[in-house]
Amino acid sequence: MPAYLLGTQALTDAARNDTTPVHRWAANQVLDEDDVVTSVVSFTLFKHQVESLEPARRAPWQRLFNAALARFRACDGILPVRLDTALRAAELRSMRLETDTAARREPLGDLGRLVAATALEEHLVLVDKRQPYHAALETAHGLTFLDPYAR
Amino acid sequence: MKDIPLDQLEARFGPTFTRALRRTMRLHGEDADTVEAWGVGQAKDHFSQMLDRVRDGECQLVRRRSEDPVLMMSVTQLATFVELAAPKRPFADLIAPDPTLPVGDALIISEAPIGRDEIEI
Repeated sequence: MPAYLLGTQALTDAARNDTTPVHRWAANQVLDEDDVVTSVVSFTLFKHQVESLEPARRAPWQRLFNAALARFRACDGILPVRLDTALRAAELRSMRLETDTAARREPLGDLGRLVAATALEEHLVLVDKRQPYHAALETAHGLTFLDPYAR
Repeated sequence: MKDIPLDQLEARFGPTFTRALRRTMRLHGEDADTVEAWGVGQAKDHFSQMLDRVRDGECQLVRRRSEDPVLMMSVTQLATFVELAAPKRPFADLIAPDPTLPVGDALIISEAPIGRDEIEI
């Protein structure tokens, strides 16, 4: 049974083919490949971001995206959205949840809410770079969150 | 029991394993529920581990073919035993850098909404 859900930013950094905080966290844990999964929705967000890049950056990132997708597919590490997850995301939709990734606060989109709902419904620890909305979900929904980027 | 598709088995154990499995399936008919499977090449070690995990009633050791162990079990049982016996990679290895791939620069994922779907009731 998996224990951790890689959030979308953590998944993207895991795919960077470099040593990132996600790699350092993984190296310091006793984790098998099936202990950590990701959401199919994170691949939606990841792919969209890659396709939004200018061509010079897009080409290497397209290869990294494809490699990450193949690796996680090969170990059955991509969770679909189940009905319970979709219904939990509806509950989260009425909450004020914010991100600040682009140096400004913005509301969390529906896709990000589906990822968070996946962690809640699958009883997984969400592993990602901390955003303001994570604290709100810890308080209101009992989300268990782990930030490998925290020093 | 969990049903594991053959392509996932091949991804984990390589083409030698699935060639052997497909051959046994053909011998017994594609839709046969019970097949003979034997260890060949790289799959042999996995079958040896599987034998160690045999419990009463879970599958039956029927005979030996040459030096290889022979199990009689359903395809689903076989897949389950293979999964149990499979050595798992550390997660750190799954995401380990690959020298054949480029190194990506920092890519920040935006989780802000692009649009908003609303319905009226």
